[in-house]
Amino acid sequence: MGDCHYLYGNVATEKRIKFMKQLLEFVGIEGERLRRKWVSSAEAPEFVEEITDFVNTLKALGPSPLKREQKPDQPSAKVAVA
Amino acid sequence: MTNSVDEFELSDCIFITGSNTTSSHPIVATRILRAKKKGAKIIVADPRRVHIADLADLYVSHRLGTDVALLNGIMYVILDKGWENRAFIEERTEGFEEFEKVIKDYPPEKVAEITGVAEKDIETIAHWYATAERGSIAYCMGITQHTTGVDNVKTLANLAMLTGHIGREGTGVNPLRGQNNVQGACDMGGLPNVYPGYQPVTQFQIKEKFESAWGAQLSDKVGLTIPEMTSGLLEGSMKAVYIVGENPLLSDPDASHVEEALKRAELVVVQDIFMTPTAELAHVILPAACFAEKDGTVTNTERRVMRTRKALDPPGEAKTDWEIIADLSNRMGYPMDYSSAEEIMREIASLTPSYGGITYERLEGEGLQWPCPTKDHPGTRFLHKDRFVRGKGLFHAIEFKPPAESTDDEFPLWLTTGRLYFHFHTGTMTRKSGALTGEIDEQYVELNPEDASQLGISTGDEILLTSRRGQIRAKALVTDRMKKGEVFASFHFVESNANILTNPAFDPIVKIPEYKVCAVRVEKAAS
Amino acid sequence: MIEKVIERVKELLEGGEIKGFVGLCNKNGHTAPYLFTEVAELDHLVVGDFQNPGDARYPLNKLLIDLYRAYPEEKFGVLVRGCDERGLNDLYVWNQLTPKNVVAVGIPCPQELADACGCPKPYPDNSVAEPIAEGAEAQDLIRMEALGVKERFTQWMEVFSKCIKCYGCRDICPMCFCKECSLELDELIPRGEMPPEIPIFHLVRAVHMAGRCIDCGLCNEACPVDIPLRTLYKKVGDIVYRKFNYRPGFDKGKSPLNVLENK
Repeated sequence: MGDCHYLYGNVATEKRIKFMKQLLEFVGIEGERLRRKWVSSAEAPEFVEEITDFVNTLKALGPSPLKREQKPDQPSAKVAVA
Repeated sequence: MTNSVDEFELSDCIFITGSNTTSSHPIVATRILRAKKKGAKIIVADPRRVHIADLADLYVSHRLGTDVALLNGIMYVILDKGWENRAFIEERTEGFEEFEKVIKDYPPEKVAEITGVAEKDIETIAHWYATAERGSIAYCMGITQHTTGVDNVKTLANLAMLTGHIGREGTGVNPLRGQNNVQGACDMGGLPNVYPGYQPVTQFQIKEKFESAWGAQLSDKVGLTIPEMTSGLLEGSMKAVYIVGENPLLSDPDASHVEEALKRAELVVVQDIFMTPTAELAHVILPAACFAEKDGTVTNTERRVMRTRKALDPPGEAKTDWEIIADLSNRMGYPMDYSSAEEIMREIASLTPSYGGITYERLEGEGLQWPCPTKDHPGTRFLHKDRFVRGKGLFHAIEFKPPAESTDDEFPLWLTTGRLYFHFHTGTMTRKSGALTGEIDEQYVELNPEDASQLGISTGDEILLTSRRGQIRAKALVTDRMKKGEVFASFHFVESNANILTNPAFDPIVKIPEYKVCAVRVEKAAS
Repeated sequence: MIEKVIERVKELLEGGEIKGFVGLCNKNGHTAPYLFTEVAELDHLVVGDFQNPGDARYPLNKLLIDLYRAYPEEKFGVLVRGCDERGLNDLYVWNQLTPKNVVAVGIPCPQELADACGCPKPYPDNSVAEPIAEGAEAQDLIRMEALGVKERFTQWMEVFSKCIKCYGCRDICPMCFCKECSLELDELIPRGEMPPEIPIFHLVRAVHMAGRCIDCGLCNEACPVDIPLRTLYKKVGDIVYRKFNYRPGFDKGKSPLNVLENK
């Protein structure tokens, strides 16, 4: 913390993630689907390890409820006009 | 509407057909969705899967123009299962036997064939609606804008009478009216055949009443409908046209013909609040005041007469509609010296029985729902309580008739037209709003993924849409809101006007054009 | 209550302390916001809601912001309830209004209203009368929190899918004062869609309510399809309070979540 290239960027991110996890939980989206980890550009193995772990977490959780919510006949189009 | 908007909340089954309710009548939809929350069954029958279809308990997508077949099929099931309201039919209606004979010809298997709606869905609709305590019907232009528009409406009336879902709170046959004051305009005789309050121009006593009130000789002949005016201008039997608050160049079917007709007129006068494509063809433009610049009343879809109040002066030379009309009349030799909108309202009350008890004083607050015949009458929440206007409700024996136009190899798809959520009518007002044009400001023709893939079309592609009357260019929107074989375009955009394509064939009785069905071809435009 | 309000406003107008008073006016059978500039008009002044939220309530603070922008040198009075006063406090923090230009005339809410709103403080500090009700618990929020995550998802998606993108929640919000609105950013929420993309539309707005919402409930009353927005934003407020120990309108300064600083 504090040694972010974008000054206080990581401080703000930390706060937002804390907040967002709770908000997602409240609307029924598991908080584990959102994760943050501080990794520098020089720490490739840590990055790989983190992503692998996250993928495993997501696989264990199963498909996103939002994906399930999307009906198969939902317009895939950007502009759906009703 | 036979009933009031808030009564939808009391219904336990609401059958919506030909209405994109959340989009076009959101406040009506509020009540319908509240009814659903309380447990009411919501049924939507619409060829296009409109937003409220996604919120319904049952949605069926019948083929364009097959409304009578679908409704007759529903009534077949009701009769077959004995769900009809015998007491109501006997006490309140006539013509049942003739009607029943026709209905016998519409068994679900045949209707499923015509409409594309599954037999079990037809049965479910019949079951839910007929056995409801209070069943209500909401419909809109998807029912009326057909060559069989009158048949469609009468068939809905048959359905309500068959089940006794009329004349009580939370029931009824409810056409949702579009503009804030289209009900008022019709009530005031803005139709070719009636004086205010739907008093026929052909009736001698009525004609005499208005002649003595106005000190003028009046015609006892029915005037021209809009399609008749267009053809009159084209044939030269009509020379001049005075258009108030309307943009027929976009809103009438077969727009190229309308343009031709207006160009042939010796005099075109347009009165409107903004410059419109129609006004650009006018010889004289009369600038009118908008709603916030005048006193008066509007009558909404539930027959509620409400006061509007002036907040601002009209800009420039603009005047209120009544001032312009009075001014014209004075110059043409018939003096009109009204001093205010209220004075005109007093005249309305004196000549229009259903508005007889309405005064500005009584309109404070919530307003009044007509019929309100006397000064002490509280107004009428729902119609047909103990009797119908004509006495007994008449069943009409109505056969299904296909749309006026057919598809063929050259024009293999059906086109239907309507509105988008973000714009109103021909866009003369809403396309001036950045908030709304920021949402969407161009024509997207909606087509089914299967049709699109056959034609090699993806969302965003430029396409040409062609009917037997003309061609427009637009972007494609590939969506399952449309079923295979049917496409949709809106009529908001002058540069890509769907009404260049639509069929001017009209209902033989009320002359409403068939905006909702015509045959078209879709192809990818050369880039 | 109304006599006390009228008395106070009369005093302010007659003494020349304020240029006008932003309140509610009952005329022609309707209650609507009104700028009172003459004592003689005060016969029409009303306090609006008495039993149910939404009987007659408008974002008076929002109108006050417009007045402040048009007449930055003048001082105006405004009718406030507990929630509106929290709104004023927060609007001062965000420099949308300044205390020197505003005289708040407060009224306490009755218990029915406080209960219906689940209002934590149904009275302003600056009031013409003593509090007549106690703070109430947010029952809707408690009910929703008691549900399982899957059930909550189903319920929220069901109500969000009714949205007709009227922007009513934003337009009525006294705390929505940004000139550019994220809800209109095509990159975040594709424009032209109805319903708007869910739940993104509603979550974007919820995020922007964090550290900002003063729980007046006007959004809930404005929503034509009855989305329980107030419950959603109550939760947002609750998260900010529990995680950052800040309640907009109660606590000094800006919400820690909303500021970019090293703490």
